[in-house]
Amino acid sequence: MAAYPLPDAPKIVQMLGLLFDGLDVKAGGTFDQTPAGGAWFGVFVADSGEPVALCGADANLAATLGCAFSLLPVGVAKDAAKARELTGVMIDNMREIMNICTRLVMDATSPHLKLDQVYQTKSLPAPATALLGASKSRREFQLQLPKYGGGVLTFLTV
Amino acid sequence: MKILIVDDSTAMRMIVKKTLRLAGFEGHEITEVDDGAKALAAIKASKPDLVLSDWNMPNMTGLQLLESLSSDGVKVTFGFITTEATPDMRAKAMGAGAKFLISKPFTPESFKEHLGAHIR
Repeated sequence: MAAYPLPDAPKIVQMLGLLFDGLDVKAGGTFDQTPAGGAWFGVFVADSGEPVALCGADANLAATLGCAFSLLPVGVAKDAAKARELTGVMIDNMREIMNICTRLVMDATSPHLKLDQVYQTKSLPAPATALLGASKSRREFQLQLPKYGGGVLTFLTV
Repeated sequence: MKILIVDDSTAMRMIVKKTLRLAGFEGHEITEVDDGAKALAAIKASKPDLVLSDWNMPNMTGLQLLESLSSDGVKVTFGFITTEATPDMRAKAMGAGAKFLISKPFTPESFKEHLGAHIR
């Protein structure tokens, strides 16, 4: 199977820090990937259409990033995290952010992949759910944004 | 200088703008559009000094945009900023008149290297 890289904390800061001022990233964290957890995933597919990588933001982080990207009020992010639901604007923003995250699971030697779509855990297509349950290669990170708060980001590859 | 950023990704436009700042290219009039067709109209209307364009975009690709500008006789300094750059893409870009093609992972340093000669 082709090798796709996993990022480290400095690479995440280097890339997502261009979108979010003051972003702090630390390795580690516990990611709630249960359907009730309300996490959002970017599903990255190979040219064959097969999912080969996932990037997940837990409910708190998805609300944080989804709001901060458009500078929506902090209260909106907290309400979305509590409800475990994102508005349409926040989902669009998650798609933008996950598209940028494509660059964190590829390098000069890895095969081509692209963002297919973003999904909440409970709505993941079966092949992506299978990858979520069977990936042998994954890393978690704790992200914090000034004022907004944060949550856990996870990367999984085949 | 008037700089036009053309990319269908809001996030990527934000990154390009921030990388320009980090590279020291500040104080310029930066505008942005999200596809090639809008860019063609914007370039004809506002005559920017420099166009930084993505390659793949809806409605009109970056290469089609450059070719349209050329066939319409519009002269503008034009370069690509794209996440992927194959030798074939690079050859097509330069053949169509692009001044540079910056590919990932682009950094303030790579912006300085490629844009230093074009941004005053």
